[in-house]
Amino acid sequence: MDSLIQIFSQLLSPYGLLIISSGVAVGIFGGALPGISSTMTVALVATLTYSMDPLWAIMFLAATQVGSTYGGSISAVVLNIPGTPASAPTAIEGYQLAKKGEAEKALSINVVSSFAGNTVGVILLLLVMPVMLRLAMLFGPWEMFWFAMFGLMICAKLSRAHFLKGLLAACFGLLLSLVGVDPIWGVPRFTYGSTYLMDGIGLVPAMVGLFGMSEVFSSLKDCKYGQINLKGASLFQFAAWAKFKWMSLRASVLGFIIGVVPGVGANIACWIGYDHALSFSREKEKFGHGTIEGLVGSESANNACVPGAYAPLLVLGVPGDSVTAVVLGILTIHGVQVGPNFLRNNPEFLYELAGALFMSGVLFLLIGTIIGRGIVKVLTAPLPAIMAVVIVLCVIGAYSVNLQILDVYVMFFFGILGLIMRELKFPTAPLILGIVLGGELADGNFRRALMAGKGSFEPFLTRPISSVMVALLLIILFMEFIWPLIQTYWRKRKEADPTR
Amino acid sequence: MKLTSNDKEVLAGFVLMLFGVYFIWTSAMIKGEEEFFESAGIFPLIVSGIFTLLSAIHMCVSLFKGGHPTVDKISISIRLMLKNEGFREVMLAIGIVALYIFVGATFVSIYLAGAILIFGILRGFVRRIRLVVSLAVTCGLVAAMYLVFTVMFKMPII
Repeated sequence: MDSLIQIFSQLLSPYGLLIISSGVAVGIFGGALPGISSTMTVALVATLTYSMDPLWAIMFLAATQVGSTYGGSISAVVLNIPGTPASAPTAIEGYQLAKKGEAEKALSINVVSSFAGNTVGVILLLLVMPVMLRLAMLFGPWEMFWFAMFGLMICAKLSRAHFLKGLLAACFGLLLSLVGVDPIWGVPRFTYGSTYLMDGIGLVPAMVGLFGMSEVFSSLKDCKYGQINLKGASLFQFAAWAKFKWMSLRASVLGFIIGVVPGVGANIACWIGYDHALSFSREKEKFGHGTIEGLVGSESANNACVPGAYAPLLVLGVPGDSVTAVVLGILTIHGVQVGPNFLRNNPEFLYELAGALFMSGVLFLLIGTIIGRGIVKVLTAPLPAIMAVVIVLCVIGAYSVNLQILDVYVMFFFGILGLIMRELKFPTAPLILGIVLGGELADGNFRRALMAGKGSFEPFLTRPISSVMVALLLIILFMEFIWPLIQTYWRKRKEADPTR
Repeated sequence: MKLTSNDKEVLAGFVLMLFGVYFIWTSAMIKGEEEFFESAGIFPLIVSGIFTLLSAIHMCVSLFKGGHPTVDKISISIRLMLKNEGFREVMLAIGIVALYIFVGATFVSIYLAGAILIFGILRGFVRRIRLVVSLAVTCGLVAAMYLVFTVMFKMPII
């Protein structure tokens, strides 16, 4: 109890409030700006955390993530442009509501649903962590390796692109993660004699380039939005949300589960929540024409996903989504190696983080309802002007990690790579996850496992948890590659002989 | 006739496969004095192998779907692409950013070159903006960034 009071007094201290509220405000602002995703916002503000204590750094980043996940819904409603990919279903329903003159209602539904989703997510995080921690203690290098593979596979599957392309992107990410000095024997790999490459490819420059710079390249032209103006109605309408509170709760639980699965994240959770709302709706025909249920489902799920994504990060050191991948990178820079042992030795870390996530929810409820109109005004700024600032922020973000201009060049290279991948419809999330999971988690554990088994691959398949993971991976591969072929074969057979 | 999406996929698969083969060769070159299963090259070798295999599958699937890129198609597509206004705008954006990074940020200063970049973009890309407003916005934004990063967070960025 004493430690709980201590945690809350720390969070409610002037410094704590300043850190969390500024994180939320920056997050809402970044998320609301079209073309600036949550990952990009967090990657850009990560620069500010280098001089902070690791705990405050993660709380600031978590607050930014919570703020930006909500913020994305503002431009979705007002401009019909999802501020973040996690607000895509919100744009479908919210903009239609706004066109009917119910923009305030849509914005208020977003803020309340987001708050509900975030709160449910935080509660579930606190409930599942002890179980996950116990489970994580059973994990050896074999299981950790398969867990990394599982994360990559799921990310490739759910990245809303072709599965094969997702896998290719993940493999490429893995290969990039192997650049640098090998952590076990100190042998240089793919460095080509460059001392810069000895440290490997920086995660922050890669992320800023892939998510930030590539967006700049494709958006640096004047855009016209069909902006909706707000009237005088309140931006806090609790009653409209209360009608769908149970659906919001269910969508939040689904969102949290999606968050826990490594590498998936809010971009998928929003669609799962939206789909859940659609499946349980009595007015399915209204979907796509401005329905509150769709908004509640999508916003509850994507915000509940945020706390969920921290569960695998803290327990296994595996990020739940691309934003927590940035957070992991920042924690590594701070010298913090998250995992079961870390959490056992520093249990207050979890409670402080959960407290920060909850407080971020309360703060965006306040900020969203009080300054929501002001944010909408800022959205009228021309996109090129926003992107010009983003370019400078990207350069500062990449440079400030090691104060090396070469990091900025790497960021530029990844910007071009992101643009090419986007043109060819290759997803970028598996690539980033590959870079994050490749080095220590996949390669390190794979080789440690081989050494422990004296070169034998058998334990990879025979250990109980490993065998379950392998089975799951095989099922995914079967469903993606073999099942469609079987279906096509049966369809063709049926077409050839309709009497069958 | 220009390249179809399947043609592009075949080409993408082929290029990735070449990358994969190169990675296999480079991984095989990683030398260590330890056993094969302990060596630093084993994991890169496996991943490169999978990458090459997946690229080959991607290429074959696109070929089966009707992809058939020819030199004629490629040259026509390149010519059309160069004439495309959207492509030119993207190239212009890349050029501006490259100039800022490789010349401005490297030899001048991140902030000063940033100010020139923001001012240039405001004047060049945003319609109906007055000179005084662009100047004021540029100065305000750069000053705000300087205050946050260099003054508040004491980052040695110039």
